[in-house]
Amino acid sequence: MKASALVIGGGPAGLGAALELAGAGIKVYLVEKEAAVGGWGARYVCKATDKCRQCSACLIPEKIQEVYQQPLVEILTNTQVVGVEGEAGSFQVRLQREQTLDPALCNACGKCLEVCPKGAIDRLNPWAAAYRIDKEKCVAFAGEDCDLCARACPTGAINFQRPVVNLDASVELVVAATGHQPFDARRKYRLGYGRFPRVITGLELEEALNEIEGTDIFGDGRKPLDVAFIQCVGSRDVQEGAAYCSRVCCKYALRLAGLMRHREPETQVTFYYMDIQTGGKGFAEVYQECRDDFAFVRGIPARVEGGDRLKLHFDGVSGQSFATREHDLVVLSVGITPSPDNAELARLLTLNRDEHGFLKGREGIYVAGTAAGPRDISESLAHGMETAANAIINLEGREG
Amino acid sequence: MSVTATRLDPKFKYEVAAHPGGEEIKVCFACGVCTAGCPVSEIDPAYNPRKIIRMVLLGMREELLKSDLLWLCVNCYTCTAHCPQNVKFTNVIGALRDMAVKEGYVHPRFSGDVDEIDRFIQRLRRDMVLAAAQEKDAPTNLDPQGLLDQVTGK
Repeated sequence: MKASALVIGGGPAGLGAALELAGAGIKVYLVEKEAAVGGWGARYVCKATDKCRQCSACLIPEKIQEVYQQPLVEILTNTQVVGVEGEAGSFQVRLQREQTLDPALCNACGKCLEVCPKGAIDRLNPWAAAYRIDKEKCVAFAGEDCDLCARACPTGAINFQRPVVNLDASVELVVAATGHQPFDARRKYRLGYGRFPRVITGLELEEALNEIEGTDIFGDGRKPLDVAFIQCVGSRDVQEGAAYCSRVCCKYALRLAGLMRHREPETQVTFYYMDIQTGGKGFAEVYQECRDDFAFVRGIPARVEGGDRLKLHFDGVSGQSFATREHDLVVLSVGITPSPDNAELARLLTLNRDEHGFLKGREGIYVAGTAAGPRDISESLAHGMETAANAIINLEGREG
Repeated sequence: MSVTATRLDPKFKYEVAAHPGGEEIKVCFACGVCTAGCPVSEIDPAYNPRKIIRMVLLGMREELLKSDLLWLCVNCYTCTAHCPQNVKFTNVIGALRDMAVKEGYVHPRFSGDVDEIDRFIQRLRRDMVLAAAQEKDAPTNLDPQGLLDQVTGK
């Protein structure tokens, strides 16, 4: 089919949509605002113990590789959509690409990292082929006179004089796979996040376990041996405007706990929960298997007190009632919230949002993955593919 | 505490929900954060907001309305601030107290007595905190009983 599509977002849903569209012969502009495709999922750790736990983290590098090998997909990183006009079957889109660091020239030699005084250069995720400049940390982006990295770069990949480029394209359809924002755990002041270093989010535990072999995640030799997971942080919470289940937290938390115990069998794990949601294929079995390995307390703690150990206040029910218990690591299972970009995206693409703030599609503009609502990696990938397949059917119908 | 099915009143929860303050009782999904943050539960685990909500939903009218536990709430609204479902448990307790009085489980004067005790405790607390504050630059080991004797002139 001779047609073009714009896919916004390079996470699992965007990758799935791009591959499905390209598979039907459609030219795809895959736009990613960050320096590398992969999305949040590209930072997650493989949670296999002595066997695969089907967390789907490995699907991301697989799909990244496929998309780079698909000649019909043009991958545009560091790129934002700034204008969309027209209607289904004929959209004119304007893209803006920031190219201080040209990923095509970067060979990831690391010389820029050595000279940067702010540690502003890193790899967005382990699968990124090129480095990126973190604009929040880089002093040059803040207006200061610094080009140490550009001078250290042997391939000329970094150039602060390189202008932002505008790209225009005509496409028949748009897939918004713009993703989500993990819940900001600071909003739960009483749970201690941001105040006590050993209170972390599930996302941070993913990244930490991805970087090391064991469980010494703070690198201070104090392996956490008594770990608490607090569930539903920013999910099923009317007060936080999130009156929905995020559908991923029970799954990632139980699998992360299993991984920690696999790496360090002495690890004790306690789950503080209101109810365990075991939706999804194969997950009920994972839950059954770990029921005996972990302690389950049916009660969300009200307060975490800091100190050498972290003290949780909770209602233990079953004869225990109000109780406190100390742990040496508290992991907050943060949920999925709508992306803060959604208001701007809704304006740009003329889309509506649902009562929670997730995007709703319209004719010619489709919404896939967590942009539309909570989903895990495999569900997002499948939703991206399904959405693209529907878009292709509609396009074929229009062309008759 | 045992639950006897034949003694349950299935209409009780609707009556509480219809009473000012009790409107949100049915949306509770028993996460327990109310009890976990409750200063009364901390000193007396027998007082358990989550359990009280369950008793309403189960229809344990008599057991609940005649219980002294209803009167232990200090109206600090911590449970209400924490509740992810906006149940407003402090208001639920208010509704239950009203019903206990109306249905004759307690004498109307008792409700006023509890309010008076609350005011007395607040004055006592203020006096004790201010007495302790005299030494706030070099705190000694806290002796609450000694402080109490000091402020009550014993």
